[in-house]
Amino acid sequence: MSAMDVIGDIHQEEMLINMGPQHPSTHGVLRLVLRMRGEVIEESRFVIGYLHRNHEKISEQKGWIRALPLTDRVDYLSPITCEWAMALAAERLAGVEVPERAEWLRVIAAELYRIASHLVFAGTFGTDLGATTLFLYCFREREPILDIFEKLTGQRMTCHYVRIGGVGWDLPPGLDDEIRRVVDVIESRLPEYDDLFTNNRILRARVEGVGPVTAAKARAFGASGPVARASGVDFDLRRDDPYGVYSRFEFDIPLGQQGDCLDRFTVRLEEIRQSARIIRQALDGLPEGGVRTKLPARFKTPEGVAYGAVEGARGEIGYYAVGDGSEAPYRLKIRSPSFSNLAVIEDTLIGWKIADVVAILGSVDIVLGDVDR
Amino acid sequence: MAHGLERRLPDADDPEVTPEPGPAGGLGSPPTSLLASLPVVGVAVAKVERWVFDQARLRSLWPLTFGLACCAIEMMAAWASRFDMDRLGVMPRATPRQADVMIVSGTVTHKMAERLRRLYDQMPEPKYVIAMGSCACCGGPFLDGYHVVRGVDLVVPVDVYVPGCPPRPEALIDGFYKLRERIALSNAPLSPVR
Amino acid sequence: MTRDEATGAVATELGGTAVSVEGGPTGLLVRCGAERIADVVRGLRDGSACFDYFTFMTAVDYPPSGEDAGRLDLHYHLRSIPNKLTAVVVTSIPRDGVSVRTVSDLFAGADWHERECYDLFGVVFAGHRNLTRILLPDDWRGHPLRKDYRQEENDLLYVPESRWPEMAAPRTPEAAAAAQPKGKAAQGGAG
Repeated sequence: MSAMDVIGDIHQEEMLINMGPQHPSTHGVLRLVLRMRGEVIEESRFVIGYLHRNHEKISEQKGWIRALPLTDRVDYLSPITCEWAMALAAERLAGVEVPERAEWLRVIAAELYRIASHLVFAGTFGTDLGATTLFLYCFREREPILDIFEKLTGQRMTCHYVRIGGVGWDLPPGLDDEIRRVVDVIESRLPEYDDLFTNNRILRARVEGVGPVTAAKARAFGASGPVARASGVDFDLRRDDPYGVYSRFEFDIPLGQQGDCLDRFTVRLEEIRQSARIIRQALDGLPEGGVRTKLPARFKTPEGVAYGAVEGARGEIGYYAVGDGSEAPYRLKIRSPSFSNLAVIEDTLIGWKIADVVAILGSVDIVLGDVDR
Repeated sequence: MAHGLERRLPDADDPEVTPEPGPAGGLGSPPTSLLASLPVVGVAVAKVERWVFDQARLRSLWPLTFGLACCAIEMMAAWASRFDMDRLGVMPRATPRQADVMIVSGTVTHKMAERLRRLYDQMPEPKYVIAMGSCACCGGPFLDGYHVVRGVDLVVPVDVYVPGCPPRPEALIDGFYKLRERIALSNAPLSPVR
Repeated sequence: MTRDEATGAVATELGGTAVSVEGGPTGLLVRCGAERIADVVRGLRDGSACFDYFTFMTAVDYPPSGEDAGRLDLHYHLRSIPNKLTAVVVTSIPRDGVSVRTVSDLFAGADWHERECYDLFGVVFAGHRNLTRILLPDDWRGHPLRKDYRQEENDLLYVPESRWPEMAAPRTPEAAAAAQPKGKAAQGGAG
């Protein structure tokens, strides 16, 4: 105990604080064990696995077709990209062709859900920091997107839209006008949300300069998505390792400089604008044709190895599949973006105060289904 | 004191593991007033008091924010702008000490089951549990998993089951209405095991 | 740098360390012996192709069958951000009794991936700073993603029926009667 540990009658020694697994700001069942001196964090450990739902083993037991609907639940805020990555792995293993129209529909669905996921991020980030207005506005904007998916697939969230060899359903008549309207409305309201957040002095003070992550650290950990791009790592799978028909669209990749919480927020808000741009181009150029290749009644993948990776809302979501000639993958490894993104900030928390932990954790935007699989 | 990273085996003598039984007045019985202890009219007064307390309680159910997985997002949507459960008196509380109802929304894993039971034990009486989503009802699509509990009613007694994967916010609101009906029928035992 | 140039550069730089370097349709495939894994990964990271991004690391279990003694294949997936290439390093180890040198000092991201590999497959990484279970509880027995994993080992500790038996008990008289063995019900009825 040093002299600073006792000030008058107040003791300021180390404390061990446990946050979670039930906590309003941990974005799910995440547990942090924090060793603190006063309010400053000296050591932090994450304990994960509270949502370990055994996707990989269940996929080995159930087979490709029956495990594909389950994969929506991995990153349940951006389920289309998870399904797409799994379908991509199966298609690459088995050499299945996907019709042109299905590829364009996949892009529209994935970008719509990216917008919905970033809206949830903005809403929950604001709520964690005390700005609950943003939560109500963002969820209000998200409801029309869920309505579109309900008309398209019958389900609001876990849609099972992307299938191996295409997509499940074609656009019903009138839905492309509705998509255009919804995207226009959301884009027109983005300046208001930016204003609510960025011009709020208290929020700015809580997120500006807080929890910076360098580009080198992001690369070493395998951080991806907006977390890596906010740190300056110029990598986006849609442009740099293209899948589907993304090479035909024009869009920018927003980058940050410092990698602090404000950069991670700004990058995601800008990504909503870029997603809107992609959706408009996709609706304009949507080709005619079928939406699904017919697969054999028992779909088997031959022996071999394939990796299907997609740029999800949180980063690179990939399915690494080892086939063995049967209907199920011999091994299906899910490369989840939140697992790597969470590892990056385990020691970023050191030196910040307990209130900053909430800001840093919220800005990384993890989904526990993705971390624990 | 273990920091929760080790698991304790069940020990019947450990007071922390087996909590004391509830008050002798039974589950959810309001404190009896002086009027209710009068000889003849006391019974009627107690019934009226009980009715008033139940009506107040069902109009102000405060749930514990216990979002586990995907159903948590639909639970959040139910609290948000379009569906707005606050107008039903449902205000989410982060701490079990101030909560009436625990909405188990999502898959319960073996690692989480112990913590879930502890949170349930920390809630004061009267308390209710809504199992939201098919994972909480019966294990759901993850039934075959090695780390998944096949339904939260193996861990805590459940009052209302809301099926769906995930259930729509309207379905969760319907679940709350069913719970209100159960509370209003104050003679119905809520769950035989507490 | 194109994929073929990178294949050539990596083959030259790794030289005798790697068993083989090929350029497949999706990227480089490097095979090496388990004792060389750290040298290969370091060579890929510091070489001219600059594979500076650690995507993931996983294992594939091949249980023994017939004459085959069985093995565990470890797959390390790396990316080169400047050159937009991918590389997979594959190595094999016996299923038990052998440890692999960790690469978490070369790539910080390998820390959690190796812990997950240990948790689900039982691969031991020598030199890892904290090789403990990450997804499953600390006293879980067995490694679930192995093909010969048996759930029964964990049932006694973890199945809720044994932890909170009062919850699994039958709740209504009819269910309790149905749960009784048939002989007793007959005796109870007759007696």
